[in-house]
Amino acid sequence: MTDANLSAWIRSAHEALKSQSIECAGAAWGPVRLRHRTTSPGWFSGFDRAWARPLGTATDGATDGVTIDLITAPIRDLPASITPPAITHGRLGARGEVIDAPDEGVLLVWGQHSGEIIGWDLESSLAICLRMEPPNGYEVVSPLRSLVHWSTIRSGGVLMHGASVGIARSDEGPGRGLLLVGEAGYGKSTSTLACLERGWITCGDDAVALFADDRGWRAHAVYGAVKTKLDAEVNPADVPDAVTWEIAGTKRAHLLTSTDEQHLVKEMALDGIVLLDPDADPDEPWRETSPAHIRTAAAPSSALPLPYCRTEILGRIGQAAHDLHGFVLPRRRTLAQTVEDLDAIRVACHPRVSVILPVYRGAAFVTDAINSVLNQRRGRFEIIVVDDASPDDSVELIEELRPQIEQGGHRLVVVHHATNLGVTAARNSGLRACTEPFIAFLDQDDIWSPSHTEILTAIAARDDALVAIGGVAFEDLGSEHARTWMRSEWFAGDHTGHVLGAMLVHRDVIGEIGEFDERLTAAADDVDWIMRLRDAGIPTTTSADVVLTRRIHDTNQTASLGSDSSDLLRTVRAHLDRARRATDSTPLPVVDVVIPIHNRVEYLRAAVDSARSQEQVSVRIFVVDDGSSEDVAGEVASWHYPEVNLITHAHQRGIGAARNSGAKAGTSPWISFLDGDDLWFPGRSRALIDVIESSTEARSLAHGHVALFGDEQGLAAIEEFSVADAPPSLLPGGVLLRRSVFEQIGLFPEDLQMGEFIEWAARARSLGVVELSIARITLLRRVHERSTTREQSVHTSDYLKVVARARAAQRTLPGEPN
Amino acid sequence: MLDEIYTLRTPNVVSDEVGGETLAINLDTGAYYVIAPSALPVWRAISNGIRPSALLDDADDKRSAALSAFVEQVIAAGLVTASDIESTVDSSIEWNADGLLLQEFTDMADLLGLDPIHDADEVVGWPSANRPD
Repeated sequence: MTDANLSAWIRSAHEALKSQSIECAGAAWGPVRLRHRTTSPGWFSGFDRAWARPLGTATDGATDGVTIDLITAPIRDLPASITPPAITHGRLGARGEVIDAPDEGVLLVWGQHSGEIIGWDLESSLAICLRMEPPNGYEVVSPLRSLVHWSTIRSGGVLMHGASVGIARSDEGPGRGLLLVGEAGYGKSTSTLACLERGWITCGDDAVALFADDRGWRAHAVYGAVKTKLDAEVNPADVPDAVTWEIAGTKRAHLLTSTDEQHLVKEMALDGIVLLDPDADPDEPWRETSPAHIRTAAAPSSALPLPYCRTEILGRIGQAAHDLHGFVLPRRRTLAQTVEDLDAIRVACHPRVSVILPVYRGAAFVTDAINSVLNQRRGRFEIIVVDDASPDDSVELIEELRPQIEQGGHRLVVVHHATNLGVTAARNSGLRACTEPFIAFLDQDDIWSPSHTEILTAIAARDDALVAIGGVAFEDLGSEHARTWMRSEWFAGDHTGHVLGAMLVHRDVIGEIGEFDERLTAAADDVDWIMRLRDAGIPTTTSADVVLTRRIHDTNQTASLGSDSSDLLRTVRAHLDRARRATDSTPLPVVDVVIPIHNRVEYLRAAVDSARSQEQVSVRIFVVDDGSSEDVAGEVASWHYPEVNLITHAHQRGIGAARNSGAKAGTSPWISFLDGDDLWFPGRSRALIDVIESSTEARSLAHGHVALFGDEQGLAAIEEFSVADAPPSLLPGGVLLRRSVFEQIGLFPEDLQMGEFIEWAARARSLGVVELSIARITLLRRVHERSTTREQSVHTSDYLKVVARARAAQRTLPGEPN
Repeated sequence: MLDEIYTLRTPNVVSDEVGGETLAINLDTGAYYVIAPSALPVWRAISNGIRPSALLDDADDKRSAALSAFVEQVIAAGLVTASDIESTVDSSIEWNADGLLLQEFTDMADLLGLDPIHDADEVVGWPSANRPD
């Protein structure tokens, strides 16, 4: 008999039986719809009670899956004219299945012992189930197993031999849980009932359909029965509406009637697969295990007893084992211990996320923000509140939430700023406090959707991405004032969330990209940071699902106003530079930057950042710690800046010696100096190199104008500086030169505590090194009590030495008059 | 068109020299523009209220077509808007028809165009107080 004949036979049998049949409940799971008619309600109406979710509910019209039209009948109801296919032993598989049809449009199984034939013609999606005898108890509580299996596979899923248990959610969406796998008798059903008694949910015992979607793997309930041994110690007396009866004299079936979403749910998001191990020492702790272990342990019980599609089955089980966490749980002495362990495993599956929440005058909103974290469907959170010296009671309000936060298994960390440093600095403080593998951001007036972390961790895992971005919706809280910066398109639909609150970032990214640029205002720091992510090619994935609601209120401010706009321009410029560098094969000039420091470590990072962010040059930074009592090494290590090298003097040897140590450590063609409390002006290095390169002088050094700034000012005020107010000045931090020229001039004197640079510069002049000055600010000198004099110990006599040496140098030049 | 007066379309457009290069961002679209150094005199003139026609020597100036194209491009990019305040600044500048180049980039549009809101109020919330007033 050919496949075409099999197909024709199923169609004609279906047609012949249809008129005699009546409609039954049918069933639905995932994308599968099973419409059921029978010619013999006496034999087959028991099936109707078996399904976890009978057809006839609101979503039955779904079309994006497989719909089967099945007729069940005693084989005697088939008219004599419809000749059954001639199936010989030679064409049967090991378990009685027909093996010569599967790729050609018909799936058919003939259980010789049960006398059951199930056939499905794929093209017409007509199916028949013919039986010699009425179904027995097992067949009634989980009927049509092979048809369920095939249709699940053809819909993209896999039917697993396992039980699913989990915790229901009170908000929208399915609960989350674990799939328990193991051979018959390993305790899947017993554990399931024990979980049900303690208020958990299940999505089916024994046979569970798994489908993967954008959010990960989901279990879908097919059957509503939980089967236990007759002598099992649990009896779900507390599960209402369960119908219990003995089957086959060995088992008891507890039928949970239908998906009431209280005990039996139609769908459950899966976090992990748990292998129940009856042979392990019952006192061994549960442990994580490999995908390979899960795959081999889970596959045989579900795949091998059923014919066809084995490649797909094994592939999908392997994928689930790869995507989900895997655990081994020894059989416990008590079921209470089993449930306790399952709960611990469930929690261990949750992604761990540090949430950075800067707070400044946030009392009106911050409780909502934190509650939106606590309402996450998934995730264990380390909530890092950065109190940016908020003068209101924001922090008190947050502390009131501490018990609730800790009760949910999360942590609250509050970082205080003594003074208000701004949101960018607050975010960086948060970054430094993070300990979890994922980092997320939340502004005090924004709200995460309940599935923020669930979606973002799922798509990051799915796409092997280090950054995941979701969608953003805007909510207008209304205002009495006209807000000219508001845009109507914000409220029309959702947007891809290129804002921090809609992003989830793996912490490895911070080491690569660095922190937020504190020289930028709040309007540009995130744009700049996100562009740096992109320019560095960090693997990123996006979802259109809304994960963040931005609340628009009176106190938002637009970036299109004030100095924020110049920060945006600067951000664009930095991006252009990175993009040009990426496409330009000409290597950037490399500058060794020597930064001597003796204490004042609090200023060092700003100095280093100002060197690192120099455009169109590549820098190698040598921080020389000249015997500081403060922890310079710890500070430098905390940044994870790859281009920064630390040189340590065990004892203070003076600034000249410190500069020399740095200069000797470098080998790059250009060299420049910066004191640890000063800042380089953006673009100064390239501008100085350009002027030297375009000069015809054989030996030159370049410098520019120098501006002063106070401690309370940051580089945020950079646009305030003008060349007109800043005189050109020859200072170590302003100078850049070729290493070859530096080597001709020689090292700084190490015996002077003052004037060492003057001596060096005088030596340069005496050698005929030309000073090229450019008409732009190159250096910002910090003015504070300690910088005006060097610790009050001014060795004025050093100046006399300097002058004397300069005169001596002039005298020794060849050809010069003495 | 060359006889119109234009001005920078603030505050929806920001433009300035940054690190030796003049950039403009259209915050409505998120597109940004690099104004070639050779186009700077003309860009500065027309975005500051000088009639484009005043940049031409006479009616037969051969650079007229290039200037028209440039002004058209600047208008299409939404960088300038019509104005009725004519600049009194001297319009005699040196410029070359070949140099009128305006490069458009949209690779940051999603970042620059969508969400420039940031909670910020000196009294009620951010921004940073480390900026001098």
